[in-house]
Parts: sequence; C-alpha cells; structure tokens
Amino acid sequence: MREERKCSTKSVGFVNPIAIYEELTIEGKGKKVSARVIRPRAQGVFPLVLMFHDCGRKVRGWHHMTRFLAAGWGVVAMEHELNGSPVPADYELDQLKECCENAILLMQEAKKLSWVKADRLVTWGEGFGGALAIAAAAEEDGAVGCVVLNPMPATIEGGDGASFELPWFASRVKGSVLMGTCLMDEIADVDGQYAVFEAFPCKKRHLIYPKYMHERVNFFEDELLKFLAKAEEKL
Amino acid sequence: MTLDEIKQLDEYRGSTPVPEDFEAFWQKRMEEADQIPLEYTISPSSIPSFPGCEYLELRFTGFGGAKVYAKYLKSTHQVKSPMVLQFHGYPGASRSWLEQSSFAGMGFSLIAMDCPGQGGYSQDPGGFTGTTVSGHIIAGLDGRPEDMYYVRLHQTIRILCRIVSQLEEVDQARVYVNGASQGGALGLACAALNPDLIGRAAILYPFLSDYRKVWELGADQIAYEGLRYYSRWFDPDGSRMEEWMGRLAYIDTMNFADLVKCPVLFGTDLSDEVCPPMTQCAVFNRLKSPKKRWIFSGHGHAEIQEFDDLILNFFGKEEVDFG
Repeated sequence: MREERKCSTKSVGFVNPIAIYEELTIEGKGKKVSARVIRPRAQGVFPLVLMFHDCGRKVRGWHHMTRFLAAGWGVVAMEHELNGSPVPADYELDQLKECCENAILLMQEAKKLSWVKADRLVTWGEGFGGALAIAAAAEEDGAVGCVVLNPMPATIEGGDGASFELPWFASRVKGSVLMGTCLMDEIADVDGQYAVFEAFPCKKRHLIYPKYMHERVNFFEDELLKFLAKAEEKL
Repeated sequence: MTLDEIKQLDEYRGSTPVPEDFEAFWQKRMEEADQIPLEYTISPSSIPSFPGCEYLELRFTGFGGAKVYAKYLKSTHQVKSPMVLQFHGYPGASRSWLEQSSFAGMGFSLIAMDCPGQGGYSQDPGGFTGTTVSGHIIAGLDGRPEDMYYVRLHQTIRILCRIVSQLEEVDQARVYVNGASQGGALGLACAALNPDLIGRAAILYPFLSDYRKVWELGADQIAYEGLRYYSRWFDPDGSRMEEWMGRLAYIDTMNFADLVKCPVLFGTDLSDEVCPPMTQCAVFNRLKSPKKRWIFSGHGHAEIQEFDDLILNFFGKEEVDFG
C-alpha cells in the first residue's frame, strides 16, 4: 500500500482573540517535519509567511511569531535540529540537504492548509534559514515572495563530489526577492551572499548594512513588513 | 550565579538606603509633569497600514521641552483596544515596527517611546550639570536630583501616560507595560508612578538597579560604565560615595518597586553579566504586589523567548496568569 503523507495539527494553549496557535506535524514517506503555526482566528483564507530559523538556535518563539498576525498574515515556522553550531559547515552535507528537502515539503503541505491563500506566499529566513527560504521558494511553480537576511551557506563541498549550491536554488526563484546583507558578517560569507543575490533571475532588491554583523537588523525587519504590504497585491 | 545562590538572596533588598523623602520627591515630580500642557500629534508612518493595524507616529513634547517620538501601532480589531506601553533597552531605540507588531498580533495597541538622546528619534534638550560623556545614568548627577536625566525621563513618561489616558480608542482598564533591561526599569517605574493607569507589568532583567551593589561587584561596566567613570574622575578615593549614591537612589528601580501596585511578571537570567542578578533580586524582593519571577540560565542579557511567550497569557487572559 502506498504510504500517504499525513498532516496533523495540535492546539497550543495561548489566549489570543485574533489568532490560533498550533503545532503542525507532517509524517509519511520516511519523513517527519514539525512546525509552529499561528493563523488568524477569523473565517476565510489568508496569506502565509513560511518562516525558517538559523542554525545554532531553536525555532523562534510564539510571541515573536505573533507579529505577522498584526498584518493579517498567518505564519508557519519550521523546526529543524541544526541548533548546535551557528556555522553550516560544521554539519554534514546530508543534514543541510535534508533540511532543504523538509523546507520544500513544508511549503507543499502548508499551501494546502484550508486557511491559506495559496497565491500569496512569502518565505522568510535569516542565515541558514535564508537558505531554506530560498529552497522552498525555488521549487514553487507560481510566484512566491522571498525575503532573506544574510543567507548561508552559499557553497559547501562534500567529500565525495557532492555539494550544496545555494545560487542554484536562487536561480529558480520566481516572484520577487528582498535580500539583506550585513557587511561585517563573519558567519555568512559576504562574497557568497553576493553570489546568491546575483543568481536570482526575478525582480529583486538588495539592502546593505555596512556596520552590522550576523544579527537581526531592525531596519530590515521594517522592510519585510513593507514587503508583506506590497505582496498583498502582487508578487 | 547558580540557582542555589540566587535562592539564598530571597531576603536581599539592596545596598543603598532609600531616601527618606523618596515618595514625596516623586509626588512633586509627577505634579510638575502634570502641569505641562499636552502637545502631541499622531500621523501615519512610512509603514503601510493593514486592515487590523495602523502604523502611526506619535510625537509629543516631553518634560523640559524634549521632542519625543514614539511608534504607535493602533489595533483596529475592537472599538477600544487594550494597550501596551513598550520601553526599550539602553542606549538603543524602540525596535522595529515588525517586532512591536507581536502585541498588535495579540489584539493590543502599542506605544513604544524612544528615550530622548539615545538611539531613536527623540531629542533631549540637554543642559545637564556636570559630565555628559559617559552615559545617561550620571547625566546631571552633579546638579540637583530633579535635574538628572532619568528623573526627567520618568516625568516625560508621565506626560505620555496622560496622553494615553486621553485616547478614546484605548481600553483604559487594560494598559500594561513591557520592557527589558532599561525597558524593564522604565516599565517598573512607570507602573509605580502611574498606578491608576498601569494594570500589569512584564519586566525582564531590569537595569538601573541597586547602583551601590553594581559598583561593589565591579559590574560598573558596559551599560553601567558611567558609575566607574564618575567614580574615577570625580570621586577617586570614594570619599563622596554616600553623597552621589544618595542622589542615584532617586532613580533606583528597587526603590520604585516598593510603590508598584499591579501584578508583575519578572524574569532574570543567572548568567547575566550586564545587570547582575543580585541587583535584580533587590528589585524583585521589594515588590509587594502579586508577582512571579522566572529564572533562566544560559541567555545572558539577550532575548529570552521563553519569557516573551509567558507574556501571551499574562497579558492576554482576563485573570492574571503568571505561567
């Protein structure tokens, strides 16, 4: 019998008059992907931010994620296990690739959720989460917004000739891209980030922050909010 | 600090005596602030508004003529929305519109004020007596206590509270404060000085606390660097310590803690090297209102998302839920 993929949700007990909090699990075909979900409580379909976290840290908190509900967007945030070292090269190539596959799978399943407006999707990630956001956007046939800050790794060579090439994923993104690069970033190689940006064939914008490192940038977060406002109309 | 060590500090209430006239001093300061005519504007920001939330800018005249800027996220889900007054860390500014949106995503409106003269758009009128090179804790320390930077700032926050009280779109029974570090100190002082307005306070690792102990511990660096600077340049042999520590006591968060009436959700991280946990104990132990402290480790003086998640129900539920 062909194994089907099963997508299930479990309620999480936060009180919010305008939002519902859930844990999402996708299982089947040898895969298990977990994600946090916050969706508008109102009836209807809503645009979706698919969010990916950096390596060396856990998934973002529920309070953090609630920010997207102010704009009327739902959010699904994938949880991955690369929360030890902040440096992607410290992980096995297979681990990085598996995360990318899970990100793509999550995109496929998340856009089928009954409350999601499937033609209004934005992927968002910082650091390695940026790579996952690009990978998830790349596999979509339709236009998807993609917002990334300090995406990494650009390229990692495996011992057996295998490699991870983020520019290859970037070259397949349709829709529109907003990317930020911090020039003092010593974790996400800056030259590699430029190579990723050059590879995007679609409408794109690159914001540079000369005196920022591998860190959150308030001003870029504000640009993300503006991007969502524009994405409501067109991607 | 270890968990066992912090548990041994349950009776610790700070190392600086409370000025005898602390309450009278602040009552007079609030009266002064209440005399300032309200001048404010609310206008659209550069962030487009969404159906459930408008992104606005509040500009008002603070105490001493400070030109104050605040982000105002106005939730439009209800006719009257609960509100969070958000205070930021030192020496920064209100963080991104997107970050502030977490409270709007809970159905709250939010005002996040930029502290004058720090990293945001609020302008400080200056004119402090004495040194100004080493931070705001000691700005005005050589003058009258009422002219110190943080005294003026608390008066400016009083003016902000008066503005909030006038906003018809605000559910005046549900105005809460949130802040970490300097934001925690300002939030707690705001709750203490505006007890009729502030209904709950979420306070994470408060700064501006127990200055004498900070000095003794050698933690007078980073955010508290002004204490060491002042000590080295203006009181090298420590002979004037009682005098200037006595003035700083008027802006010590632990002394405000005595006056807080609302429930307080409090957080401390054992590995905090910016605001020593012991000084935070002085603040927490002096709170007489309903309170709960969550102790974390390994985060230092950085974001603690587990604490932020507690705020969802602490602010969101009708009954107080400390988690």
